[in-house]
Amino acid sequence: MNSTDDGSHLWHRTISRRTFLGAAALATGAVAAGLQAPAALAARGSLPTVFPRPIPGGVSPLGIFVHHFPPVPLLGPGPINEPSQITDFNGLVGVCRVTGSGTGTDTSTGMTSRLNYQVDNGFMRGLYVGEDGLEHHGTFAFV
Amino acid sequence: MDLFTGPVGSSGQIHDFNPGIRPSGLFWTQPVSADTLDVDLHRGTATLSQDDLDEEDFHNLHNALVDGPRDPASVSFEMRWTAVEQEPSMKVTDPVHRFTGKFRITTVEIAWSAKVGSFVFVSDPPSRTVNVRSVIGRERNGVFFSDD
Repeated sequence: MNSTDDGSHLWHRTISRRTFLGAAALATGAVAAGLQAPAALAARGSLPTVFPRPIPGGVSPLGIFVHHFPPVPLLGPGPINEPSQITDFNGLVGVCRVTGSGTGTDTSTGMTSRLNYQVDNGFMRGLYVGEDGLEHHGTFAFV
Repeated sequence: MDLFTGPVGSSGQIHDFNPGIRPSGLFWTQPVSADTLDVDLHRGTATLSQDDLDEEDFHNLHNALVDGPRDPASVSFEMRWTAVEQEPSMKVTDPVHRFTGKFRITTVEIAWSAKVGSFVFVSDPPSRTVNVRSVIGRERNGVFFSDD
């Protein structure tokens, strides 16, 4: 872990959501409910402990409310929109909206095409209150 | 991470890669390894790198928002936030949305790829990233918020 402005961290390797949820599904009780990592895996330091909770506010793209503020348009009253996806949070945060282009390939045919992208990504690292109501430290990606 | 056959935001969206929405409403957020994120607020930089991260391809925004049918996919990316020199650090307190912190406006460069089924996408070099709006900082919200 490399950071000049933060505390402890719980993950020691890349944890995919599928791995996280799949491992959690193997366990029972609160673990099976997705609240906690299985003890055996957590003991190896391979899983985070608990998911954070969403920010209470948000926007309604296509008329569907989500707990998220996009980087733009600016909604006020401040000069930026809330960049974090998680509430009860104290830590480092980053968010972006970028666009660009690239090449898509159908590997079954070899056919390629030029495509355009939009990426709204971000990160959150620090102290948070989890779904279990307790405080935790962790690192999260907004993808 | 969205792909379009036409202009961004058009009806030509064909891929929408994200981890899904938690039952709690937690939006497109997933745990990652601590060592994949480097942050230096003093220099105004941050780097987030993910390799073969599990995602779902919901194919378009509406389907993603309603948790519709999806295909298992993966993405890899390396992205770097760099503070814009001319933009000073901002102290922001938003009592409406209850967050406060110090932030820097940044640029971002990203290189990314995605795989779903037999489809593979590779972005152009990071120097061709087009910036819309990006920030990094340190913040407090929710129970850690105070506006003093």
